[in-house]
Amino acid sequence: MTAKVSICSASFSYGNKEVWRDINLNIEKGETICLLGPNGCGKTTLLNCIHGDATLNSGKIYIDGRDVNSMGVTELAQSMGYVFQEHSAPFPYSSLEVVRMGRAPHLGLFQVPSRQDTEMARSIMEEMGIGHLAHKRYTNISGGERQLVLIARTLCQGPEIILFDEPTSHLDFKNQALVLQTISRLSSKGLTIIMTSHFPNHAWLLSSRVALMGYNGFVDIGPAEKVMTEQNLSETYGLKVKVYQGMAEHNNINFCIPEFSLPTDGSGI
Amino acid sequence: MKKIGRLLLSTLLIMSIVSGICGCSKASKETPASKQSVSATRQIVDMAGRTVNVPTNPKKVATMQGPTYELLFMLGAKDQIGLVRSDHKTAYPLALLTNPDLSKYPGIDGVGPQSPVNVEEFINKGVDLVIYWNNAQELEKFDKAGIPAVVITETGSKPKNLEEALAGTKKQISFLAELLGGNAPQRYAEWEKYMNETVETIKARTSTIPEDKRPIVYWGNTWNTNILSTYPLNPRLYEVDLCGGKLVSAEKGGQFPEITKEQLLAWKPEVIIVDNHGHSPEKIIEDLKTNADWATLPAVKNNRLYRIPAGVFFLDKGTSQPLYYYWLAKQLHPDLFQDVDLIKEMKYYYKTFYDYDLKTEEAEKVLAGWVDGI
Amino acid sequence: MRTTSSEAETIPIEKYNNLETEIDEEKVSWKKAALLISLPFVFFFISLFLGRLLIDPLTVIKILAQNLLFIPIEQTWTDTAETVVMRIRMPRAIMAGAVGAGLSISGAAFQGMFHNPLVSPFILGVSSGAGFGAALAIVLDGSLVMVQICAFFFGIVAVTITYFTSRIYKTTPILMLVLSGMVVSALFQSLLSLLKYLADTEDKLPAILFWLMGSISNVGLEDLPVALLPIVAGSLGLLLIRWRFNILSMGEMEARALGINTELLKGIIIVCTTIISSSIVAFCGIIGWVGLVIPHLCRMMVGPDHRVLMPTTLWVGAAYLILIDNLSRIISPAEVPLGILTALVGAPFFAYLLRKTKGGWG
Repeated sequence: MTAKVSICSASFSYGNKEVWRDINLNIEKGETICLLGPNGCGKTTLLNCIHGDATLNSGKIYIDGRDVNSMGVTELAQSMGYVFQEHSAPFPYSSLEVVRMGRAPHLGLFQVPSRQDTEMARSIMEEMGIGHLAHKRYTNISGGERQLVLIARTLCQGPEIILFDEPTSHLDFKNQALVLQTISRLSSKGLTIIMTSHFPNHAWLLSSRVALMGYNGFVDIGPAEKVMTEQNLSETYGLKVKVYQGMAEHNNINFCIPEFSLPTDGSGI
Repeated sequence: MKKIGRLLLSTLLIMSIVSGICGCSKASKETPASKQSVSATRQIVDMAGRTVNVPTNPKKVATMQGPTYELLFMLGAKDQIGLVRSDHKTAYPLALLTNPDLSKYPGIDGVGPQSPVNVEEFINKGVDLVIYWNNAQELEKFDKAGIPAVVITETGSKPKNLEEALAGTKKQISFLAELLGGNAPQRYAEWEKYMNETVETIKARTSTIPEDKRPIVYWGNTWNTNILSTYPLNPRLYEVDLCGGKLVSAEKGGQFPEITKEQLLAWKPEVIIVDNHGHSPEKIIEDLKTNADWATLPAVKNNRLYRIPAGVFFLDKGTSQPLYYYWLAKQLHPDLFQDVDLIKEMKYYYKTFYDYDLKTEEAEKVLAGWVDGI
Repeated sequence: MRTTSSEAETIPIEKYNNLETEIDEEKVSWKKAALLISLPFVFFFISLFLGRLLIDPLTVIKILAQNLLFIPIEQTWTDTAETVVMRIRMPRAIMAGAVGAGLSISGAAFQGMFHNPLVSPFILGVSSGAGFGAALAIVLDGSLVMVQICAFFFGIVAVTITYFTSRIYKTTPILMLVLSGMVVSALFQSLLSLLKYLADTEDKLPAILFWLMGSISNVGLEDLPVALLPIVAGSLGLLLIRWRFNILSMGEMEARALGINTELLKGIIIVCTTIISSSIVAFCGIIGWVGLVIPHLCRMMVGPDHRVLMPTTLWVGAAYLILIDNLSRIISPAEVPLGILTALVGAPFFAYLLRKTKGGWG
């Protein structure tokens, strides 16, 4: 069975600087996979390559068996969504309008969204619990709410695959939780999700698999428990990391904390 | 990249060397300028209120501003000319005929009331007096180069009647005559007499014309591509009034106000005169005749559309104004001026003031709007 | 239910500034739409009665009835009056409306495409190119038609150069377009200056200066169809894709993520705005401060959604310029150049808009 997303012998470089070489990854349908790694290792670049925005030096990326670069922009958008980090728009559109923009891949060049499109946007927002934001200006809501609106927009595309680029950066504690909860719900609906993150702990909360990326490509790929060992994490991030296990009501929760020692006599940082 | 850099650098070097050589060789062809301190000078105040040290006997005058060449020529000072505007050699049909030396004078391009002037050219040609526009920035350049520059026009004056308007013209020419010295002042006196006589003659016949018999006149100055560009009302309305007409125009709007189409129609001009230079006056008159927008104008219906003749210079500017008045009076009131033979007047003027025997065919061509070169 | 803070209660709630967090998403109300659409037509109609030639209103109506509605009426008016109403006032008002509409929708289009509200329709160099073309034709002693053709042609040439200069690997990034536009504008400006320098100062130079200041009076009754065609065609093109501006204004990468072929869209937008602006400049000279200001005003009135915004710019732009053009031709016998009036009115008005929106765009 062909994987949903297949990365084969892919290499990428910026000019002469090589970012990663000869990496391979197969992502199955309905999987949620988290790309972890330090700054500059090329996580976002990989995401962009999967999305067809950047071109590989060598190798190929296949979506449902088709080369990504052979697919048109509109065609790709009908099956793949990309949730960017939240940002402010130059014009104060209503949130409903922003969500409705997700219908674009299904509309012709000269078409405007129909009533059905508006209804679909509205119901997606209700489902996500942000229906009350519909008439609020996108520029006036909080960062977390904006991120949810962007997720709702992507859902309007009716995609099978959703890419998330560091969806919880710049968000406060509560909003991070909200977003993670939403992604988890999407996961359970059978969408294929590829996300990058700065926070290893989120990987445990969400994903079926983790791809840990270092400066030369993947360090390890596999289930979170297998990949996120103290050794792997410490080597990849370049500092000492300890993994702990906590006990909650029904299951065990893993979390990791970087270890650093502070002078006990209070003599400066 | 390095290769391209080197190529660029060597190209630049070669270019600067070549232009330097060209510049030097050009300069060496000209005779070096004689310093002003050699000839005698006197101090005058020009029409712009500037105090200037001018040579008592200017020998190489640069005739830049407007009709200056023609003024000098009329004043008999053609041998004192040192530099003319290049276009003046070819733009006026009778200029070359009346003065065969004209083609030999050094010419200069690209000078204008708003244009930056290249003073070196003047130095190279040994100019000892420049008649220029009232542009303070450019005048200063002459000052720095040690060439006296004089303004003979009074700008911004708003005469209140014909006498004042004429006085302005007279002052300009008499001032120039004083500057030139020699026979010029006497020549000016003769001219002034002719001018006064002409004005008296015409006034005698037109001053009694009642208001309703004075045709409404519109004056297009053809400096734009359409008929709508004109002169401000003052001071030309006095001239037109002298000739028995009533000039319509805007009082404000810059040097060349642009009239709205509707306003022109509202004025209902009975006579339209156009300057005979600039943007193809023939095309403009053609447009007046054929464009349905203008069909209701009395001037178009009665075909009273005239191009102002140009001789050594435009008839209405410079010293030939008396001829212009005769011409305009004849167009406006042919019945009152039937006895005036324009050709005879022109021949008299050309003989007396330009020292030239004007042929009848030449006079006829001028009156018919002759603007092509010889 | 609206969230109000105590702060909001003490400050009078002004519509369309940042204090109001909710907007009525669906449509501008019918009343408002009717008002906006009728505005230019009302102004147009009134223009027919205004002018330096005093014609009594009843006569104007009779003239219109006979010429437009073909009602046979015994002619009690002068030929001059009929010429003035049908051949001077009417074509001029129509052209003024078209120019206002064209510049406004082009301005809105570029502001959306460049996701920057400070952009005018001339940012890619069309006005500098057209100015140079006109000057070239004048120097070469061309007729008015020649001047218009040259202006139109070089306006398009300038934008084409801008477009291809900004091309990197088959894309034309927005920033590159802006920078290239600046360079090309500067290039044609200096070529224009060169022409001014070389032009016969007593003859051609004044003609060039006249032309640059702008005037709608060059368009006669017979010229109207030719002058209107590019404006109508371009505006129609922009209207058809108006919803996509919402998406494009979020950013190119996002637009592509939503399936928009941004290169095609940008190409269409540039072509449409260029034929509009180029023909406006060719026929009427350079008229600024319309394409910049009117979209802002409209955003204040109907919000930023381009589905509603773009038609609104047409109506409001048309009404605005008809009004200004009336001033231009009525104040004095001499025509006040349109470019001067639009700047005199537009710049302070823009400052006022900036203050009112406090720099925000809603």
